[in-house]
Amino acid sequence: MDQQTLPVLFDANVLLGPQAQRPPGAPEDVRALIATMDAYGITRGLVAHTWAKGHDAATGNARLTEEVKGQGRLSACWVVLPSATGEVPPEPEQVDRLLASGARAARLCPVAHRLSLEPWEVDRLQGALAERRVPLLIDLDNRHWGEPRPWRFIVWCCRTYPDLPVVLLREAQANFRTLFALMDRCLNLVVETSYLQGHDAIHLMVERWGADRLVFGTGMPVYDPALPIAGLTYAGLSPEALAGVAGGTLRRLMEGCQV
Amino acid sequence: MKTMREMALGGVRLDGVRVIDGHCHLGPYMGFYQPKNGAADLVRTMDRVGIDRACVFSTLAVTIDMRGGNDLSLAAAKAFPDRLLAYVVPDPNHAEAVPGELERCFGAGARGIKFHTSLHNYPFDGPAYHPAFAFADAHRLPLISHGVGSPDTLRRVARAYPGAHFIVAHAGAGGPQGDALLRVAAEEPNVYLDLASSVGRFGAFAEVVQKAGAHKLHYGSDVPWMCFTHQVGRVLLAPIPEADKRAILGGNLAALLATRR
Repeated sequence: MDQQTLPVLFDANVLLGPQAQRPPGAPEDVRALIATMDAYGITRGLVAHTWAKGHDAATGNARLTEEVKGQGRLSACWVVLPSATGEVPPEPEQVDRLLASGARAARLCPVAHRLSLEPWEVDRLQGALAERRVPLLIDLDNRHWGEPRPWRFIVWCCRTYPDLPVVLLREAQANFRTLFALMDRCLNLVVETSYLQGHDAIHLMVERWGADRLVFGTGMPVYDPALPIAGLTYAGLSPEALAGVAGGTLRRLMEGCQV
Repeated sequence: MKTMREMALGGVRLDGVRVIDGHCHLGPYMGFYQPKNGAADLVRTMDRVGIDRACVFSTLAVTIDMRGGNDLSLAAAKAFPDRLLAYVVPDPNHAEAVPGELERCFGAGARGIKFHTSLHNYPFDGPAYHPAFAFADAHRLPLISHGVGSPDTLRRVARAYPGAHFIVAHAGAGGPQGDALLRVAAEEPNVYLDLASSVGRFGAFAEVVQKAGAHKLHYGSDVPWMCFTHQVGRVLLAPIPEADKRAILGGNLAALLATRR
């Protein structure tokens, strides 16, 4: 493969901002993040803000919008919450504001934000996102492949809102028996690849479900981008499939937002 | 000539780089589905990535059947003699059979030893492992262990068997073992660290290289529990010198494998 055919990597899973336990050399601001992306050959990033995930959704999302303004390589992803407490606007208004800001994806963090994921808690949020077809990234803060997943919620979400693209972040090989059954049944379920390390799994999943069911991601700057990059570039995909997983699928999902 | 970073970004086959994977399983695992786990499947991916050789130990041997599992590893090495090296797994829960199993497997061509203290639920320094330590010491063999007790335990065992090459599985990527284990690797001449780790914290690997030394690290993938490709990427894209990358990917382990007597 020569320089002309290098995949255009569009990273679906990037955080911007300060971290409590900052890994050595981890970028925290836009300039450092762009430099890190250059070092790892990453062209674009779909970015959520650590303030929005770890401090306050509204101020974090506003900060994100401001920091990525004018940065063509960074696209904003807002952190979203149910509105019952009043700490965020009602769900349709949240989604209106998200789209008006230029963001084209939402990130739900059920572990970090102590959500039960019961339908009566999150149905309005999922409904509002589905109505505007805003891709929903589910961030379960999983640190190891052995940790459990809220499969009932994921199935409910995919089946109740079939127009909602549901992107499962950091899904791993230990769940293949469950995940493969879901991939067959839920056509709006998309897997992000930062932790997808099963042997030849990316190739196998693309063969079985197509490149539009996988999106490349790294989880940086918490995690090392090197592993998922080589996991993709050495996956043995056709150039078309490689381009899709590397970025085409994510671009298509974001372009599907009904602004 | 492309840099190793360029090779990784382009998915370029690693021709011209000696790559030896020191940590490969073989066969299925009932705990979760592991695709393409046969010897021919592994060699197919090795061909695609450019991995020259792989040290294999069957998952059957680290779970429920020592002899049956070791036979699978030996058969794989016999089927792909230029590509796969069989490691024998001693099951400490069948201590009486371990010395004979070591003799049998090395007589049939095994090249190293694998412990899995977690799945075998047995302490690294327990007496049933001592025959394997002594065998590795006498024959100057690599011995890779999943679980080594505390860093002090590892240091004590390594000093007691100076001819054995102790490789700590899952410890070379900056994991929870911390700096104490890195110090043991840096200070003890016969202690090495295997890279295989699903988790890769940003920047952690370069720190490990700095603290333990590139000469103490071995590429290992843990395939098919994981894939060959991810740990290759960890090395190829790391901000470390090219010579260090070559040593970690294969040079270091090649040197250890050559010491057998």
